[in-house]
Amino acid sequence: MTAVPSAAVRVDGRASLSLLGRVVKWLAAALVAPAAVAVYYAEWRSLGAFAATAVLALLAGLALERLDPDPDLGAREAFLMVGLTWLAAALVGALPYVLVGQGTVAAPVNALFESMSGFTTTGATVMGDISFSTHSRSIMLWRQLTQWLGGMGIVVLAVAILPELSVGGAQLMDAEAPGPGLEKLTPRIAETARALWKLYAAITVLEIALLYGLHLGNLAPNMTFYNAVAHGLTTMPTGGFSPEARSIEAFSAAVQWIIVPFMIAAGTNFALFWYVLKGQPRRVLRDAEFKAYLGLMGVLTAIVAGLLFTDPNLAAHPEVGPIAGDVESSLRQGVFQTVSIVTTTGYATMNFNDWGWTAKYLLLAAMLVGGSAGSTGSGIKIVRWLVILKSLRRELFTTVHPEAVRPVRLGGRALDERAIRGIYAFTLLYLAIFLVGTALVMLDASRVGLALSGFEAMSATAATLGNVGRGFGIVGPMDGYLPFPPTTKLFMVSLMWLGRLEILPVLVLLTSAFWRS
Amino acid sequence: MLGGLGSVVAALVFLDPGTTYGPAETVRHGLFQVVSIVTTTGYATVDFDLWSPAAKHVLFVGMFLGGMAGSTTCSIKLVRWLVVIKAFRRDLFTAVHPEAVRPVRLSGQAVDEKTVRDVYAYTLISLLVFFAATVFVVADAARVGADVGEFEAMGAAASTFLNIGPAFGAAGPFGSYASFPASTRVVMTGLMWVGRLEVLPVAVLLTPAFWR
Repeated sequence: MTAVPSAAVRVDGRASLSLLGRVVKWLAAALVAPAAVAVYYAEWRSLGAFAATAVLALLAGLALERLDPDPDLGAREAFLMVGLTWLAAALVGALPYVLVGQGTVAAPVNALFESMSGFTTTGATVMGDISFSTHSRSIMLWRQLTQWLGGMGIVVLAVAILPELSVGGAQLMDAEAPGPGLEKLTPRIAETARALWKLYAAITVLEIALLYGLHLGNLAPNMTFYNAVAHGLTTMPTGGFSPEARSIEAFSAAVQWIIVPFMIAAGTNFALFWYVLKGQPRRVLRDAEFKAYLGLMGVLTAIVAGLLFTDPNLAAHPEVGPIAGDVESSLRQGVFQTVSIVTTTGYATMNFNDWGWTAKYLLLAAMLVGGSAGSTGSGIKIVRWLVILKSLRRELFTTVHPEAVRPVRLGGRALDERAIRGIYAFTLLYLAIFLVGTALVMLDASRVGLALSGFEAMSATAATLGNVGRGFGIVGPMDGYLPFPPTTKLFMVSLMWLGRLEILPVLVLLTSAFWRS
Repeated sequence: MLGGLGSVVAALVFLDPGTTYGPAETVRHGLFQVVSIVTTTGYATVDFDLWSPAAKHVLFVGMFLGGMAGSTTCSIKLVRWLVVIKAFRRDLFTAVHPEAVRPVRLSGQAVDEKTVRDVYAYTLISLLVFFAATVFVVADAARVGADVGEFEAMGAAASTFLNIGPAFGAAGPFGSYASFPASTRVVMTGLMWVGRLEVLPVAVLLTPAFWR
């Protein structure tokens, strides 16, 4: 018998599950951090929950690992493994919430929502009472840590530390990485993964140090060491969870200003930092996506800040004082919210439900833009919009000059027509899921009699699919997703999962061609 | 397709305690409104603005479908959606089997890749124009202090751009667009023009390459 080409063979589920087992096993190690915090604050019930979760994850991981001692990875196995890894991480991450049993997140559906929202760096919360009177400090830290782990990617981390993933790792990272295509920084994929995680960790540490430095310098009285770590862990992954119920509004203007550049960095392609470190800073200035990213945020900020500055309803805000007529305040509120939404972070320094309709619609539109490819941000991504704009202009040109052959260029390089079609397909699919998702959220809300406007439903769908986390109205920046029925919450769990993996890796699992031999 | 959407709307209207048409009436009203909207006709046998939000949303989605290519309807057109769906399925297939070459087929004929791209581009640009138009309608209404809800704005933007006619709220089937500010009505005039000519011919006029 002759060797069959790989495409003719049935997908090797055992190989995927075995690799999944290796990742799940290591998730147990991640639980050491919140467990240590539990010991420090003498929260024994939480410690028990973390220990039990760790043991369960370890056992499940070891059992799965035994399915295939020498897993071979093809294209389909890679999709299956990445898709399952994020589902498994969400399930393992939900266990501590259930076992600790504090507040609304103890309910299994809520726990799964909070955990998926954490790992996918969405930042949508179903915690009813975000305070230490209901929740232990260690479980809060676990909530922050899930975002940090999900930010640069669980699979990317696995490729960085697990030698058995060095073969086929590129395929895995490609399935997980945000943006079209993966930029290999080093010849060996495991080294690229390690470089990305080191950069990510270094910037996180820098932010924690700066935030705590503000506290020591008496510029941020409530930015304790715990809060500095908690916010460092959720800025860089563009996460948006905060242990403060009123998000970043709870902190001084200095803290708010410091967080802005870190959100911008989180939404930047991490390959650019790598080039800067390698002594090629000019590559950053030449990068078309980076320029568009900064330009877009600059223009949006200018418009939003202008709208806030002139809005008579914001002349005296009950929580944050006067915004209209105050240059610093309107600029800060404008830039913070704009950057937070474009990078899909989801922090807020005020309840932007109080803004005018125009400013709110601009934020909703920004939710559909997203961060850069290769960043920790989600959404459709700047580079895709750039390619679409350039391709549309080309289309108009060739309508006038039908004989002209003119490739679409990005950063001086001609783009493959197949890649352009793929980008169109992704963007259209994303918008279609957004519109259909909105309708489903509306339908489900009206089924249970939950009052939900179309705008609120649109923002909730865009915020979960785009991993932003915060929307308008009942899902506003100071509120959560608790009022939704469990069916909607589960639907949103799948939206977050779809959004984080950029649709395709999840959707292929649902096609019959994937499972047939 | 029309039948399916018609039954969904009829069921939603029937289940809505706020409406009391009785079974036969419900089917007639449901089907008539769906056919009228999907074919971008714009007739109405009943004020569907009074229906439940769910039924109204289904009608709203129906606005984007449009009739068949070569008919007198407007909107995005069913054939485009068919190509889009088939191309999506092909893309999912080639993601699993990267070496496979598989053209998108419509009624047995392979569709040219450039056409697939154009269909993608057109559908996407329609959605973007619609979204931008909605933002403008909301912003312009807020400027003059008119009370226009987000769903009303979306409905009015879609209805003019896709050449349907009636929408929801003030611009409902028995209402009119007179309540919108003059600037909004001027933009809507532009939207109808752009929508009827399917965007591209108008957009081309705005490029420097056309005039050089």
